Amino acid sequence: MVREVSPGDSISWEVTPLADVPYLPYGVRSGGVDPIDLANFVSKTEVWDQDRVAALSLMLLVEPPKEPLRLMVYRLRARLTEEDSVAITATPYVLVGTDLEPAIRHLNPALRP
Amino acid sequence: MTTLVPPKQPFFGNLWDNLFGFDRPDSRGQRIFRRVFEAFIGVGSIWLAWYWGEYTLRIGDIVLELGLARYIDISFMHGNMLPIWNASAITALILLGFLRIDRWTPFGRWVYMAAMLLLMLQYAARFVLGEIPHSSNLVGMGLMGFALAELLFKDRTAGGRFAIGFSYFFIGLGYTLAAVSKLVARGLTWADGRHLWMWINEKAVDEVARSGAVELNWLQQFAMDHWWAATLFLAFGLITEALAWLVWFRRTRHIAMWVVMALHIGIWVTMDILFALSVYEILLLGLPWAVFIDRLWPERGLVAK
Repeated sequence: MVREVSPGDSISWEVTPLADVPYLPYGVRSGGVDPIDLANFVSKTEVWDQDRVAALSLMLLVEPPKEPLRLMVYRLRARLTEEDSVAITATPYVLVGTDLEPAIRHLNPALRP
Repeated sequence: MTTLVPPKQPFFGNLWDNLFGFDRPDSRGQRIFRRVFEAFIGVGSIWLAWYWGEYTLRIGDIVLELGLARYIDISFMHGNMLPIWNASAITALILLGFLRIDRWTPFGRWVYMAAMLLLMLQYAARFVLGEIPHSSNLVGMGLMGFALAELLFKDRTAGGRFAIGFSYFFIGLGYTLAAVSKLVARGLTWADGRHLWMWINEKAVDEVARSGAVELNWLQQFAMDHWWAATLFLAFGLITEALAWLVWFRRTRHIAMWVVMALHIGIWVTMDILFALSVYEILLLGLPWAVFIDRLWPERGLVAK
């Protein structure tokens, strides 16, 4: 999942329930991205290096809008609870933007190699 | 006085004849249908080639090698315009084959097979991000059927019949094996409605990612509220797939195809996954279009049955 980060927002790397994820909703369809690709890219990447961050940035921003755009990419995990409901949590993974050079420092500190 | 009773036909009969019917009389309806099906497979393949080609331009790194990419280094297709050139080549080859000018070109009867191999390359280059879909498999196998028909049959009628029978065979086999895979992986508990709850939530997350918001439709909400309903939906899917081999036989083919169609509509409504090209192909193969054409526009000297 992706959220749009406004210029004045502080960056949070906290794991939160899906309902409490900060920033603005952002649909990757507007950038021509298949959400299944995004989900696979994020969940199946084992080592987050410079090339991988650059590739994710290319995927999301290959057709950049005129206005500067910053996007926080989240990994979501769902599990069945004992009460037979589904609990979903969101972990921020990486920040990409039209005004940001893709770099390791924009990764969640827990993922940095 | 004695009455001649026709010999009783076995219910299923000969599989080879059911699939291909090489010895059966030809008709205008069958000829038109074969060309329409070939056109559908051609257009579907060209559409996939361009759709995948344009998307591949945004791929900058390989997350996971899948399919053909497990055997060859597919990275040469990334970071340049090769996917677009490849889509152009696939388009040209399929047009040569469909317009029947292939045998006057250096490619001869290999045009569809060449298009098939290039399409596999396009597929492998596109799906390096962690998952390779099966939504295009029916069209891909359709193209493989026509490619083999071109190479194996000089007679166009026999070739067309082979290509259509080839599609029926792999539709039956593919869905049946999908049921076998589910049973091997989870046994009968695959149909536990709680699994559908997880998948509905996963697809809801995909929808949040795609559009920024999500709202469950009434059927999804009904399945989420009633475990028995969710279990019933999954059980229907599993049974449908397990019986898909009935597509191989004329007597059961159309009903089996329509049940598979219902399965796809169910997947669409409950999980928001639409295999559009597969659904169109099932629509084409699931109705006796040739018989309809023969009835509406009978060929002189032939009686439609």
